[in-house]
This record gives sequence, structure tokens and C-alpha cells, in this order.
Amino acid sequence: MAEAASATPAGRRVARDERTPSQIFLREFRRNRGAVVGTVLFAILILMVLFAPYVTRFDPIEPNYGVRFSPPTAEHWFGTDRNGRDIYTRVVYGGRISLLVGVVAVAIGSILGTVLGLVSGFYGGLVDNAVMRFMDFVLAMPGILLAITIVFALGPSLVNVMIAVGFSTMPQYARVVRASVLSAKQLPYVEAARAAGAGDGVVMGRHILPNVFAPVLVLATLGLGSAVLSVAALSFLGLGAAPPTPEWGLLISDGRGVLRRSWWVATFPGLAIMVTVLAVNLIGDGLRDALDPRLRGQV
Amino acid sequence: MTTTPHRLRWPILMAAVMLLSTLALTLSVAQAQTSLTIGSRLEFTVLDPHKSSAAFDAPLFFGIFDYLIQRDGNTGELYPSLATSWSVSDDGLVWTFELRDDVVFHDGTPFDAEAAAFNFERMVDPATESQYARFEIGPFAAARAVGSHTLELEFSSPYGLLPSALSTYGMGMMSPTAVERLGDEISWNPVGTGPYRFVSFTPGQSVVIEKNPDYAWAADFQARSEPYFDTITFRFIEEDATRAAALERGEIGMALYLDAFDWLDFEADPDFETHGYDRLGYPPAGLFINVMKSPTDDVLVRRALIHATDSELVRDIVFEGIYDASGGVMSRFSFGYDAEAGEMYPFDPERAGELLDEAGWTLNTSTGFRERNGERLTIEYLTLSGVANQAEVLEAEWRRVGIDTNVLVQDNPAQQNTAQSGLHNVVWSQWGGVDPSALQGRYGCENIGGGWNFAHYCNERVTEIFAEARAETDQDVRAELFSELQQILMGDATIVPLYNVKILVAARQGVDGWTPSDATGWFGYLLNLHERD
Repeated sequence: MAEAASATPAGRRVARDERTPSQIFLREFRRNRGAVVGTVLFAILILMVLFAPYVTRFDPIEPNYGVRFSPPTAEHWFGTDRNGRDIYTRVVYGGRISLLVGVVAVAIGSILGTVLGLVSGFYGGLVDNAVMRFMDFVLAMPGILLAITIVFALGPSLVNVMIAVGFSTMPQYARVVRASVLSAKQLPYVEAARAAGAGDGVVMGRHILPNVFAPVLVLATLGLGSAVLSVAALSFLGLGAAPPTPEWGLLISDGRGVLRRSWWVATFPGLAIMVTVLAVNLIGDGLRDALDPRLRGQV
Repeated sequence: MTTTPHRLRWPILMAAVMLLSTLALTLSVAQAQTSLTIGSRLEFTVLDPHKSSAAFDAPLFFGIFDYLIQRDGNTGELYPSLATSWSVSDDGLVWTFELRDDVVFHDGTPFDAEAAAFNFERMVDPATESQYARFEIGPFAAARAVGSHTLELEFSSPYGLLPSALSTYGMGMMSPTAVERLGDEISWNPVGTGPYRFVSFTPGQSVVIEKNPDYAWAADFQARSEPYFDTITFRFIEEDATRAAALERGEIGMALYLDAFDWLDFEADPDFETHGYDRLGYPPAGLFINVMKSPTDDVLVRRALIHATDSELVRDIVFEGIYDASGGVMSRFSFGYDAEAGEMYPFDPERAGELLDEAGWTLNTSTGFRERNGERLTIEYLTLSGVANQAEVLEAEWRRVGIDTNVLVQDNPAQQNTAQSGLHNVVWSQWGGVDPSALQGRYGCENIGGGWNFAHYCNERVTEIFAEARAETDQDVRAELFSELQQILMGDATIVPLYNVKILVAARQGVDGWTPSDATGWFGYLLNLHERD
């Protein structure tokens, strides 16, 4: 009996220890109800956007002057705009652009920021000082204002919006990565790698980078929400997409003038942005909780 | 548990009674006062007509200032105002004006020939940095008082346009003593002879003016002889929808420059009344076609572009059919309008297709777009953010004849700079001027690059016509010159005509007397505004 009793917990403990980190992560993530809801919402959004031609039978650009300013009906779920275009269709197609531009902007910001943070934290000294003071300089300016300035300088276009939003979010990644690198480079496995004769590039790329990846992932996910917002804001101001491209910010800008009379033109694109940002933020929170060992197990 | 001691209660009660009665008194006084708040789009750039070059400032000037000559916007006719009569010398160089002798500035200074001469000298003084007034006064040489109320204006070359120019918003008569006393401050504390006096200016918010009780020199053609409202407040509300909402809630009594949709709402609402009028003499809105940049350097492509444009559809979709058609490079109401030129290119997509075929742009049926030597027929379309929805209608129209359109939306002044660079095929623009000679700003060779010649068009005969029309005083000869001008400009297909702007105004029920001054087309004479009984 005694042997059996002691064997069971020991066996369980062994089984738990054998779980891979990704299994632990998945379990933690699934426990977070908000994160699951966010993931489902986001998955639906992505699917709708990818299969846009299959979820709507209207064209996002071709005008249909016969049904101008129709309120939401069974035919036009979100109503129609000044040119008789189906708002639901434009919101779905607009998601392609808004999400793509948001993702690319985050990619630009996170890759640039990670590389700079890595180099800065790893080498320290003069390099660190130069890079981080520049990051402070960028960080000192409000993100959206900086993005507006950059787009003004480069000229209004979606590509420039990606660059501008990416650049203005870069310092956040650089700071987080640098902080993680500072602690990671003291760890024994880095010393071991050095002792084994690994060069700077190998140590940075193969040993330190994977260990600072988690916070970057969390930050990038949360950043996607604000990037989608920034992109929409810039387009709203006329600095991003050009008509007749369906882009969420542009759709809201279109509807703004007729808000008093036709509320649906601006409202549904606004809701689309809200749902997207909410979903992404829920996922980001879930990721942070699941990836951070200090928060794990807390109720 | 605090209670007021007994001995304190009486004074508090008495204070309350006094406060209430004061309040009631102020309210009854306020009710006896008549006032009107007008919602305008943009903040006034300066309160000085000689310095302003923004038509949005004009509404204020037609309240505070009087002009030697005034125009009735309903008919386009010119009438005596501060000047009772005028004549021109045989060589066309010297104009003589007889002035009214009963006019007094708001600061008590009498208006006479010396004061008028001072104003013209101030307009051309480099220190004033005048743009619009300086432009309108043309080849001005000198101003002289030859009698107490007789003014002579001398020009270096004949200037037939002068009477019309004197009615434009930059020509307001300011008090010379106030200018000397206030120095640069005068530009923010205007002193004129008009029906309303300046009271205050709150940057970013409002301008307040009050009734000039001494006003007894209204021009004969005006509907009223004296101002009605005790105070008029201009409030700046940039967003069209917000301005409409402010009128709906009663925050303002009158809203200028409304969106067609909102305007139609007010028209249907018995609590409001609406006014709308075509901008007389004001050239229309359209797309200038760049004659230097491929593919619109080919006149066939330019003609095809106009034939492919259903401007009526633009007016119906964007302006709910309220705006009128434009007549080529001029509004159909303008002096000198040539109907033959204005209707040279009716909407005809088939004809557009034939012209493009002729120009070598053949339809690629797999893409739906036209190509020549593997290059797609693409029009670079530059527009302003407020009118971007027109681009959407046109993009769809042009796509039907196989033209691909890239739209670039910018705000001013970026749009103007981009247009000047000449990198675009078509540029949306509308512009002003009370006489067709204003077209020089848009088609004069000297205005390519730095100016407003967005078509980048330069033509020797056109240059001659501008010079001849400026010097000519015979209106019939001028009308012939302008006919020829329009034939050339439309023959070379330099513009896609779209519409003639209508000024859309709505007010609370009872506010009446909105009469266009037309000098810029933007506003009427404040003098005639009143409340019906």
C-alpha cells in the first residue's frame, strides 16, 4: 500500500515534468477565457478576410447608384454608402488591407527593434548608449504624431504608412529586448557557449535571441491592435489608402460627413476596428499570462 | 450638521433676491436685443481686406466695410456706393470718382477723397504685403484727391476692369486715422464705414460685430437701408456635419457652406429656411488636364477623357443634383460665356473609345484596360480630401472606357505644391475671379510651376488675349476676346468640366434677407440680413 501510495504521486510528477514547454503554454492559454474568445474572434476575422469573395456577393468598388444610402436590410446587412456600395462587402475587403498593413507595420517595428535591442544589450558601452539614446529620442515623441510626420515627409501611401507606424513602434521592442538580453547574457548557458568557442553572432542569434522571443511575441500581438488603429487613423486623415480602396479608416472618413443622416456608413467600419483590436488585445493578454512564469498559477 | 445662524439668514435671502432680479433684468434686456450667430467654415485669416487673400474672410468685410462700387449678386450689375459717379479719360489711364460727402468712419473720421486715396496707396504699399487687393487694382500708378470729395486714380496702362475690381472684397475703405493710430494692430481691429462695427475677435472661435447706429449711406440697390441685428457673431466650425448639427440644435442661427445632404434636410424641415445660389461670375470646379505629362500630352486622350466623364452623374451622386453644370472653363452665368465652347464635349463614352483607339490605346479584353506598346492607359488623379468622393465616381466611369485611375488625396497646401510639380495627369481645382480675365491665373504661361496653371498650358494667342482683355474697356469687344479664349482652351481640352458650385445656406425660420455680394461668391451683404415678424 505504502509503495503504491507513494508511486502514484511520483508517477504524476514525472508525467508533468515530461510536458514540453509548448504543452504547458497551451494549457495556460486555454485556461484564460478571454484569450480563447479573442482567438476565436480573430480566427473568424482572418477567415472572412481571406475568403472575402465567398462571404459576400457584392463588389467592394463597383458603384450601384440604384441603392444609395440604403439602411441595413436583409440584402445589405450593413447598409450601403453614397455610391450604393455594400458596406459589409467593403468592411470585409477593407479588413484585408487594414490587417495586412497592421501586420507588416508590426513586423517592421519588431524586427528593427529586436535587432537594435539585441546589439545594444549584447555589446553595451558606446553602442548601447548611442542606440538607446536614439530610441529615447523616438520614444519621446507621441507615436501617432511621429507617424503623421513621417508619412508627410514620404508622401501619403499605404507602404509609407507601414514604414511610419513600424518605425514609431520600434523603440518599445528595442527596450524590451535589450532588458531581456542584459539578463540573458549573464546566464551560464551563454558562458558555456562562449567557452565552447562560439562567436558573437552565434551567441546572439542561436542562444540569446530564442530566449528573448517570448516578450517580443507578446508585445507584437498587443502592438498589432494599436497598429491597426494607427493605420486607420492615418487613412482617416487622408494619409494612407486612396479612394476607392476600401480601408477601414477611409470608410469611417467617408461616413463622417453623412453621420447625421446615415449612421451605418461610419458605424460598421468602426465596429470592425473595435472587434479586431479587442480580439488582438485579448490574445495578447493571454499570451503574456501564459508565457510569464511569474504569473503562472495565479488565479 | 451645519446650520446657518439666524442672524445670517436675512442677508443671504436679500442677496438671493437681488441676484435673481439682476438676472431677470439681464434676461429681459437680452431679449430686447436682436442677435444672430452665423456658423462659418474656416477661421478668418486676417480682419484686414487689403491684406486678406482668402475668400472665406469676405463675409466679415461686407459687414464692416463699404466699397466705392458694389455689385448686386443677383444680377451681376454694378452700382454706386461710396462713389456716386465715375468717368474715365480718353486715353483710359485716369479714372475720376465723385464720392459721397455724408459718410463717417466708425471712429468718427469723415470719409473723403483724402481718405480714399490713402486706402489705395496702402494697398500697393509693399509694407502692406497685399496679394489679392494688389492683384485686383491692376496697373495702378497713383491716387490723388483733386477735390474734397473727388478722387483720381491713375494707371500705367488702360485698365477697363477697374469698376468691377473695386467691388471685390479687398477694396474695403478703412479709416486712415485708425490705421495711423493702431499701426499693425489695425489688421485685427478693423475700422470701416460699413453697417456693422467690429467688437471682438477670439482666435479659433468667433468674431463679434455690432450695429452701426449712424449708418445712413446704404447703396440704392440694397434691400434695406439700415442694419437689423444689434450683434452678429461669426463662429468657426470647420466640419460641415458639425455645423449642420449646431444649427439643428439652435446653437447657431445660420449655417454657411453646407453639404448638399444636410441642406436638403433643412429644406424639408419647416423650422428652417434655406438659401442657395449659383456663384455668379465664378468659374466652375473641374479637373485641369496636364498637357505636358504622358498620356494626357496627347490631345486625343484629353478629349476622350472629357467625353468619358458623366459630369451630371457627379452632380447627382455627390451633390444630390443641386449643383448646376459648368460651362467648360467658365460658369454658364459668367459674363462672356461661350456656349459653343462650353458644350464642346458632351458625355459620350463611345466617342471616347474611338478617340482612344485613334490615339493607339487599344482595349486589352482580358484586363479591361487599354494599352499601347504594353503600357497601360493610367491617369494619375490628384485631388483634395474634401472632394475625394468625386474621384470615386469618375474612376468607375473612366474604367468603363478602359482607363485606369490612380487617385492621390492631399490637403492644401500640399496639393497645390504637388499640382505645381506636374507629376499628375488631372488635378481637381476650383477658383475665383469676378471677370473672365481671372483665367490668366489658371492659363497664363507665367503661372506654370509656381502658380495655379495646373494644366501646365502655354499658348501664344492666349497670352495676347489676356493682355488685350485687360486693357480693353468696351465690354462687347472683351466678350468676343473671351469667346475666342474659351474656344482655344476647350479646343485644346485643358479641363474636364464638372460643376458650378452653389453656395448652400440654411437658417432658423424667420432669418431672411440673404443677398449675394458675389465679389467672391462666398457671401452676401450683412446689411440685408433681418428677422421677419
